[in-house]
Amino acid sequence: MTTRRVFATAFAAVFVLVFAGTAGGYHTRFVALNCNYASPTPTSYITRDGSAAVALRARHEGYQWAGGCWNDNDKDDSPNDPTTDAGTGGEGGDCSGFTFKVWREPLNTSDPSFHQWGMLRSVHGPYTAAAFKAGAGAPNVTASKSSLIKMDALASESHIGLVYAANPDGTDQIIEAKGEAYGTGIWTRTHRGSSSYGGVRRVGWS
Amino acid sequence: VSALRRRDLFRRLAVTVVLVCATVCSACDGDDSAPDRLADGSPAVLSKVSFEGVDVPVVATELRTPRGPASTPCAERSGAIDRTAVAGTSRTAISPDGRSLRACDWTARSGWCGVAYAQLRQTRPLDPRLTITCHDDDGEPLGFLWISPGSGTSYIVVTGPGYAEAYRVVRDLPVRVTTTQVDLETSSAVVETSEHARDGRLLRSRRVEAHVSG
Repeated sequence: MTTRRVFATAFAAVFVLVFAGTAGGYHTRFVALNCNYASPTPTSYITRDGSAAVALRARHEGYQWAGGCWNDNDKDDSPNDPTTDAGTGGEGGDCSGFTFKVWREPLNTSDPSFHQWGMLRSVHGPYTAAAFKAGAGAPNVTASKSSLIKMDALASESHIGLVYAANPDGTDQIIEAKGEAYGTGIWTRTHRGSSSYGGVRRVGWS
Repeated sequence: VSALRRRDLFRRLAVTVVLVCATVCSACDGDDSAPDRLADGSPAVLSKVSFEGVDVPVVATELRTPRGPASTPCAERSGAIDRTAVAGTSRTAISPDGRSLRACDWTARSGWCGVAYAQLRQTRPLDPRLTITCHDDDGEPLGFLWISPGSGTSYIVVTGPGYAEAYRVVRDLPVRVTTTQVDLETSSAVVETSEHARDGRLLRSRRVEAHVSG
């Protein structure tokens, strides 16, 4: 009887450990359980401060490669997803998905108009960081780094972040989806002085 | 007599139906035929290699060293190659230290319209680096992505609706292919690929789902 009980306990422990391992950080099903595919709302009026408010709601949320859906509970609901795996369906945008949504861009790259996407709308958009850097798409243009102001962007071939505020020492406070280990937030960065980074601007601000 | 007439009428009707069906079906066959031009206007040539498991016409894509204006975004890279498929051209260049790839994508409608960058692990990018910012002649979004060949692969064949395209592998480097199978809503593309030996023997096949990312 005791042997049977020990065996059952051991089996239960192994079962729990195995399944807790696979259902932990990896595949939290955040997108499947929380996000939607509602149509965006076209809007004719957008300000840099309004865009900053959209970005700030993503602060302290997660990061998801190829993602673009987050809530506003100030924690990463899908921590430690494997990086560069689009299939994990975790919380957050990646750097370009975050920029696309905060800049309220449409999916049609020929259309420069503004579209409001819900925070829980799962959308990444058609641009990579490299595409933003090149000024690809009707809503985006390259700009000199010295001309960048709040909510313009600094982009390299592999990353993009938005200028939240310029620091007196020439660095910037950048609001960005930084990476799986960091999530989304504001960090001081030296992108403006880096030759790898160029300036990008969303056209049509009010 | 009236029964005979009715039977004759029935027979004529049946022949008409068969003829109409034959016409419609041959029209369908026509839609499935391979295109006769590549993206740059040059004639599309069917591949001389017989690819095992591919049962549609296979267009041989063009492979050449870059030419044209030096102002193009990837012009400064040495060792670049251009691949021209039916809907678009893509230039892939490897960095001098061999640790990263860069691509510039082109279509007749959009010009130079896509850029991609990938860090390499061994000879493979971390993901296919899909771009969907280019458009084909019909104004539909066109996808470009890298497919990493496996061991022994001489050709990568991408099968689309009605025809396939064969890409020759060079130096085991990732091959940037084009696809019309783009979903704007999910910023993704799906391609059906097969890898073949030099004699066309099938080595492996897989469906690649790529997402715009990073």
